Amino acid sequence: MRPRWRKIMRDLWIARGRTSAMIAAIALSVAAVTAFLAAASILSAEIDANYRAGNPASATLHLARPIEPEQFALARATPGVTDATARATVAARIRVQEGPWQSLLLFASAEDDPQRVGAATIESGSWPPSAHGIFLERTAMPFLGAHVGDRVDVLAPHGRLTTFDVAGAAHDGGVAPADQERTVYARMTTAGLAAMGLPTGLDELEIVVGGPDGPSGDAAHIAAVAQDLAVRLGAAGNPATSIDVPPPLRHPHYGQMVMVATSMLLFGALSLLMSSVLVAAMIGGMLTAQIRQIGAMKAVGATTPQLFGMYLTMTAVIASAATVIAIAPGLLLGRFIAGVGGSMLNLDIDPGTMSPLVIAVAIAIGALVPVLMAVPALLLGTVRSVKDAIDDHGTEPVGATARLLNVLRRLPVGRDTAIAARGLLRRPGRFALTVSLLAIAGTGAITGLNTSLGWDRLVQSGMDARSYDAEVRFADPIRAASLRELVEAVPGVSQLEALRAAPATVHGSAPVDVVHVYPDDSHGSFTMVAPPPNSSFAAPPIVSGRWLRDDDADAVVLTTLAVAQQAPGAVVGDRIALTVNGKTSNWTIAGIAQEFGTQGTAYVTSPEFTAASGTSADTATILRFRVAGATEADRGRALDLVASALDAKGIPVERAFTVDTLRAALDGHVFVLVEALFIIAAIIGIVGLLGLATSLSTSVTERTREYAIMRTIGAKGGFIRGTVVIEGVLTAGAALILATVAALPAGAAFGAFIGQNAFRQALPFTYEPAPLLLWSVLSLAGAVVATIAAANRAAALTVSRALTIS
Amino acid sequence: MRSEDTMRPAAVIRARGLRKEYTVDGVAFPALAGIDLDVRPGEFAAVVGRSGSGKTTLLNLFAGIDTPSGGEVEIAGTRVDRLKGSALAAWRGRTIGLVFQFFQLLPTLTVVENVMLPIDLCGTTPVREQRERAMELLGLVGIADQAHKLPAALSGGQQQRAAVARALANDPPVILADEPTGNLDSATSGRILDLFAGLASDGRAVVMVTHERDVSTWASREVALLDGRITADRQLVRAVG
Repeated sequence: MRPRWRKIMRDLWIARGRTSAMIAAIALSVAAVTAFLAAASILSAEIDANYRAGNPASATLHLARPIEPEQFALARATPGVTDATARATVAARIRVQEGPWQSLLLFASAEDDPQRVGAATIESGSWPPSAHGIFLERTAMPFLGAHVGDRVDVLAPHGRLTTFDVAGAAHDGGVAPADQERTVYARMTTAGLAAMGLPTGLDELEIVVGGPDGPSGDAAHIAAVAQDLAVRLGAAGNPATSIDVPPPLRHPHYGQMVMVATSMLLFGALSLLMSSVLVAAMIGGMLTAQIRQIGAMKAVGATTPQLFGMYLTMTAVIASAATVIAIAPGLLLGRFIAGVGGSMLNLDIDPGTMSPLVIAVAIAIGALVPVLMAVPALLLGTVRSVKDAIDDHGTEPVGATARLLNVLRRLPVGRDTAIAARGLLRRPGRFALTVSLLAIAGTGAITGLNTSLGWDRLVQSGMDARSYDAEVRFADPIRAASLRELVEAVPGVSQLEALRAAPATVHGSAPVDVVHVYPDDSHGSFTMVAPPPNSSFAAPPIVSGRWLRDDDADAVVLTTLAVAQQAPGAVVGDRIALTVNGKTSNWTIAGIAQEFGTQGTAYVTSPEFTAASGTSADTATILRFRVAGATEADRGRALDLVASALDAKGIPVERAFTVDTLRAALDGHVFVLVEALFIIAAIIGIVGLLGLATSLSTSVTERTREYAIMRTIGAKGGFIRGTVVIEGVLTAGAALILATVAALPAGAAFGAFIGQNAFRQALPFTYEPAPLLLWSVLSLAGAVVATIAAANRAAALTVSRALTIS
Repeated sequence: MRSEDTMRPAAVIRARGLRKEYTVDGVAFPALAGIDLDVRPGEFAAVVGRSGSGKTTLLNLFAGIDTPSGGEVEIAGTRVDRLKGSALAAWRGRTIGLVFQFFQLLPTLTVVENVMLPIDLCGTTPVREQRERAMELLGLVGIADQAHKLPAALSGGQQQRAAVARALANDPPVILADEPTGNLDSATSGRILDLFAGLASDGRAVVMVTHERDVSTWASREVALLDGRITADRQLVRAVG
């Protein structure tokens, strides 16, 4: 090996402590980036693959009557339609043995349906089930505590209880896990509908729109084909009342997943940037320590490009070693994250779907980014003239640094603190860099933790806006007075409101209104709700405009989600046409409200709802009430009593849930994001502390001579150790102040970004003391721990050793 | 022109009107105030003078380590004051052998690797022959048996010998030494000065800045500086060598 490369290798070996720290910092970041890239790659491939595996319907036409065979044939012959099937969807309730009732969404199809559209993968049992057989979506099994062969009670909307056998489990990649939605998805045939005493006609026509290349991803094209089909069916005597066009080929939780991946990549990149800056700083420090050697090499003929190349190679060796170490664990971690994410999204994960590009990109960024970041430091270190290099005696504080030191001298601080401060300001550039690095880490960690708490607050704000304890929904309007009379008599019900609601669509120029709702009838759904005057239970916070007034004529208040999903770009004052129960009416947007945990909603006054929906004013489809008692058990018990009372009177309940169930569903939606933010906050914090440790270690190494002199003039080991530790604490303290301030705007911006993209709603600004306190303790304690080794090294210098240091 | 000049080889170091000023807080301080000096191959010139007389500045200007404020320096036919950057470094590596008071050996390279380094950097010898060349030079300075030790394991005198060997690595015509004995005891200093004298005898031009009171035993010429000017320039009769 040529001497120049031998020197580089030996320098790395001699400074192996710092070399290891640099490698560890980069490896940690590269592993994080690799993991996040791998997880994002696997999940983005699998989320699509799982969703497409079921050949999801591009559109669903809700028909006025059950579809006839010739109408079905007409559908299949419509240009652009590549496949079609008929089904019925029934909202009911389900329980295992005497367990709690849970919401149930039943998808029914003909016994001879080939199960090509919106299909589920049968994982156990044999399709089709018998008339008394039901297939549960696989995530419903643990949610209900059911097993194949168990018997389950199904309470139909009209109140009839039917017992079914769990005939098998199916995986439906198009629906979210049951525990997240607090809803059981199940499949049966029309024979099962008959067993429940329900009509067996199938009034929903699911179509797949596409061409030779597969299903279409163009929502406008899909809507156009569906409209064309609707016209044909209308001419054939079965008009469509509305058309559902969910976002094409997109899983309902795609947005959340993208945000998880984006957050991880964002913080991973920040972490990599930090560790690269750290390496640049350390290499810069190494060059400063070797400045005389650089001078000597220049004196014997080394050119600046040669020296630059040598130290660039040194950086590349560090980065490459870190990358080699990091790639495999990063990939494994990525697979693990993808697996967790997959299970949270009800996906079957095949890690083999990871793009090979991930490894190439991870290697490229791991090996190149630190090297590129080190280039300025390398140029600065190697470009110095021979004379400057050989004559280097360190730097004397000048300008602002000198003034700051003068101020420090006058402060009533201990001698050790004053010496520590001088030591830090000796190289103000490095001090600034270390503080910045740790401040960025602190900002990242505090922001990550606050954002994760912000999700909790968002959920809590959604819960706080609901001052009721439980809700019961009915498929059809029920006379409000009788509901009131019945429910208010239930022990524990303390306050009750009856609301009116109906599915709505935004009316456009097309013949049939389009809703961007998924087949689960939840994600992307749109409802018109009429709360009672001065409602306490339906008063979401207003973002712009105003809430409803009793004397409003055509005012509507839309939720932010409704605007985003159904009327993008709509603002207060805009006119909007809405269709309810087949009737279209025109409205003025009076306000936009923020409501978390509810699908898109249009709030109108009760008289206006009567006019728009054609339903009687004395009806209700939603009951909300408070419960005497503060516990979850109290609420659950009261709701069971209400449901039983309604059942006893033959009033069919579509859904019944307490706020606790809602809370669990909302928590299930944000859980992935919260966990991801915790992980990335931890990684970024560790990289920051590693930075502090290596920076102070370099500083101590550079100043060995100074400590040596202190030892020779009588300084005790404890004093020197204290000085070094104080340096670390002062650095961490300065960074902590910066991070405390910077985390304010960073938290607000990140919360707005991630909230808007995941749930169309900025997270409430969250700046809790706990993350700040946690980071304060970690960074200050970390500073002490990080400096202990360097402090001990400095304190352990003997006078004789000190005198021999040149 | 005197006849003896025509008999002597042409100057390998040639300085004319060489000036250097340093500016401190806006005030210019002359370090060299117009130096005319020729040094020929085979000469061992000792530059003497008090601290601040301009000795090291003169040496730095010869080596291209510093740039003159005025005048010109020509070494081995090259105008040093016109060279810059990598060209200057490469030229220096091939033309000048530098020896410092504090040796400036690289602490993480063995002695032989330190000697190989200039050869490696300048590419003057094929890679396979570099070690052999370095060992040869270490033999010349008498420390071949120390070749595989790190500099820290050697005595001051041995380190300076290694530095001399490194200075000779690319067979330069000029050796410039800045206080090469300043950090050594008198016996060791003598042995180092013997080395320089030998190098001059071999036809190299050796310029040594020194505080040594009496270098007449080794040097062939003494140039005295005071306040940046040559106050005396005399040929010495070497007592030994």
